[in-house]
Amino acid sequence: MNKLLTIYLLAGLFLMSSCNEFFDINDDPNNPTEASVDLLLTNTELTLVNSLGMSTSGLSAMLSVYMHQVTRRQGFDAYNVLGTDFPITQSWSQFYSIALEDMREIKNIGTEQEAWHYVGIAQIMEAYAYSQMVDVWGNIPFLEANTSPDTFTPVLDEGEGIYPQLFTMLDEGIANLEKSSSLSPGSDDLIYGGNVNNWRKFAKTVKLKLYNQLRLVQDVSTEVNALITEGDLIGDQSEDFELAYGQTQSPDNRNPGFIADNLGTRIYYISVWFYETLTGQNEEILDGITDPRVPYYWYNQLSESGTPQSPAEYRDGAFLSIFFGSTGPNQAGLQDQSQTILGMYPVGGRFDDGGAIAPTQTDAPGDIPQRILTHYARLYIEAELAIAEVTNGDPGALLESAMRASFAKVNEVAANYDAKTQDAPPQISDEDIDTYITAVLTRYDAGDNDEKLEIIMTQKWIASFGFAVDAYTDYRRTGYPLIYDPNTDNLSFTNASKNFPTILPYSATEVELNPNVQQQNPTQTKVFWDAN
Amino acid sequence: MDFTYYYRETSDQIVNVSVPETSGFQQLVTNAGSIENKGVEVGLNLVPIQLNNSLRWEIYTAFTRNRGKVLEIPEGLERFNVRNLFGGGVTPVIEPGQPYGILRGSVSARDDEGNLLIDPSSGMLFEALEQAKIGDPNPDFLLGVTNTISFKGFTLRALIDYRQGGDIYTTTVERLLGRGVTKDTEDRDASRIVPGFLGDPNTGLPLLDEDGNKIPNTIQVSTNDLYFQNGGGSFGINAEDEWTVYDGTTIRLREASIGYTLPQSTLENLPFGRVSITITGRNLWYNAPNIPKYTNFDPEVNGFGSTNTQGIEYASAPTTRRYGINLSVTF
Repeated sequence: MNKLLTIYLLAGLFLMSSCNEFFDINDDPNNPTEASVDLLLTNTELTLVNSLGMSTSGLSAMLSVYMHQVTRRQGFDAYNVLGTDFPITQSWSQFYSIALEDMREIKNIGTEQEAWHYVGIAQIMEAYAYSQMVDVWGNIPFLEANTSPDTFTPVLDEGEGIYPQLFTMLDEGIANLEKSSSLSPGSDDLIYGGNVNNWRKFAKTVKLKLYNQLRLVQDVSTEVNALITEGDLIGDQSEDFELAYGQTQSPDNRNPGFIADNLGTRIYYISVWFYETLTGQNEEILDGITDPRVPYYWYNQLSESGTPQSPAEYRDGAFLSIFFGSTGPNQAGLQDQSQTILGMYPVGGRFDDGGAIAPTQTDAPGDIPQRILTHYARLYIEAELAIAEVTNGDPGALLESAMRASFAKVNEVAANYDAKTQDAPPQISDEDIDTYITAVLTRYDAGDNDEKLEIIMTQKWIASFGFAVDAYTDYRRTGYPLIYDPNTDNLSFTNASKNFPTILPYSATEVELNPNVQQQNPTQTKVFWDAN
Repeated sequence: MDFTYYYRETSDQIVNVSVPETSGFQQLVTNAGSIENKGVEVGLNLVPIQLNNSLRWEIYTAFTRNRGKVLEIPEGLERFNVRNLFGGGVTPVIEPGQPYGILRGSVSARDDEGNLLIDPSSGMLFEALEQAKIGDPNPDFLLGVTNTISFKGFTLRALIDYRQGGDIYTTTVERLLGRGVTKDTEDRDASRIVPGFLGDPNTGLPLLDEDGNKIPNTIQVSTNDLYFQNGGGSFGINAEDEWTVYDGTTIRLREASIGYTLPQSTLENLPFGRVSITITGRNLWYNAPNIPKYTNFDPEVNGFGSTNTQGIEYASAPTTRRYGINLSVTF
């Protein structure tokens, strides 16, 4: 009897305690209400980079089409950009409701915990994110953005007024990096692994980039020369601002551009314009100069004699693609096993060894970093500033070092490349690099100042393959590189009914929900620094 | 006869309010808003024939008409989404002064008099900058008529439903027209001219001739191009959302049955209390006059089932027609 009583008592106790926990339904262990700065930082970086890069929801997925590096069969082909286009709605959403919101949280928590390095990094990334958003959208929500619950419907601020505040934000970020911090980032920092010196150099390189973008509308020589004299910029390719991906399939942490183009449906064709430029067949750009980076840039699934699945719209040897703005009969043919796809350098696809296979996901690593702001980009910026006589630098010498840095980057990627079923890709030889650079510099030396600027911007554009947002901004500022015009190419089946978009429309979701945001016309509006 | 008139105002419900993403969030859960519903319900039972030889014809009619209107939403907002769908496409929204869950989406560019603007390079439409209301999924009224004729042991019953109005956005019809697989789009090489005036896709304004007059469109396009364009501007695939919205008015034979009950006299020597057999068929016939005829599309299909999201269909499974035999025996 006593034994039975004990059992009852024990059972009662057990039941009571479980009841207490059971009724504690306001704590949801699956949705924590507090986060730590290290967890937030990782997600912020990933979101920021993905919304700029070649991910289907990244801006480069659209802007690399408009910069004629790739071609896509999407509604936004032929400059028909709309506020409902996926890269626009998604990147807008990722910037504001994920990246910037996480940065706000990092700044709040970091200030409270005196984790100044986190605060500084968040400020630098915030300034960079806003600068890219001003560059593509012009006037954007800034002062009232991410201030809920104070306001849920932020008003637009002028891009021109936002820029100066970004320099302040960068300076505050740099200052916070100098403070002693209660917590320091490490492996949670996917970009620099917690190296605050690199973050500082990145911040200063962003300043240089932004001053360069302002040079048509204001005198920036004092600021630019101060930054260059100080010399605390991204100094070599180990300091590049880029986000490394992995090779894991589940959860998938590979380069999103690789996922979009090298698995299943292939969304990117290589632009015919870009192809002809790099193979020396473009009469308007670098005619007759072949680029040794070609096998690193894209992969031909066909051999020269291979038969495509469908009749080809554009075929040159092993290369198969479609035209921008095409309404030709073969534009929509299924070519997923035949078209030329993004290769090793842009997304970590296959090195083109002439093997001519249709790669599956195990045939390439897909872990190449998404490059955002690199050492070579910094050198091209300096070359542009020199040719524009903002600095006293030697533009020719800067162009040469920028080109060498671009090739060094390709060779770095090739050296670290996990070749899977292929032989390891060779390095581009010094001889090939010298031949190419000499050929380009010969034309450079022969050109006038405008032609020199064109060559600098064209080289920057070629090197940027895999990240098109800066190229889009550069093109609108300088008018270079020359891009494909489907209306004057003598092909009856290519045309663009709209002009080149000088700005992107806002996300249609925002326009629908926010009474303070009216849609803007992409062909009738310009960013404030666009003096052309 | 039953008659009901009702007026109901509901306020401060718990709602997920979709807020602009620039606030840092996509949704806010709050108590907000008010909505009114008023309507009439009428039930009418008629027996036109009742004879001594047991012939009886009974007609039951049910009529329902509901008018809903959103009165108030959280301050500062113009509207919010019933549900967030695919990044900026057709969306059901809650907007003051409008019925619950109207559809908004992309529309073609028009001039200030409402004429369609035509892209001179294609002869087709192009999209306007801003989205607009493109439909209301709420029907104007519903009518159901049940006829029952019974004679001796036989019962014949038929339920006819009529729905007036109620828009549906349907990608099934869009695809069928765009791919040209139904008779609606036969004669695909025939020339058509979309009525409208030439416009400039860059500015969204009409083009003018030397005298400052608008230029009527005279560009011929094939039926094929009418329903399929790569970059928007068609009436089928890649059309602006408004062209994929159809009026869902339908008349339908919802259910018909024929039954026979054995007379008591035959059962006297058997151990059964009651024996009846019924053959039924559901959803036997319908006609939706404002849906392209040969698509044979049933506007009763709904992509989101019995939820607050109505009038949107993304290539969902069609409705079914069912037959059944029912034998009922009691002891």
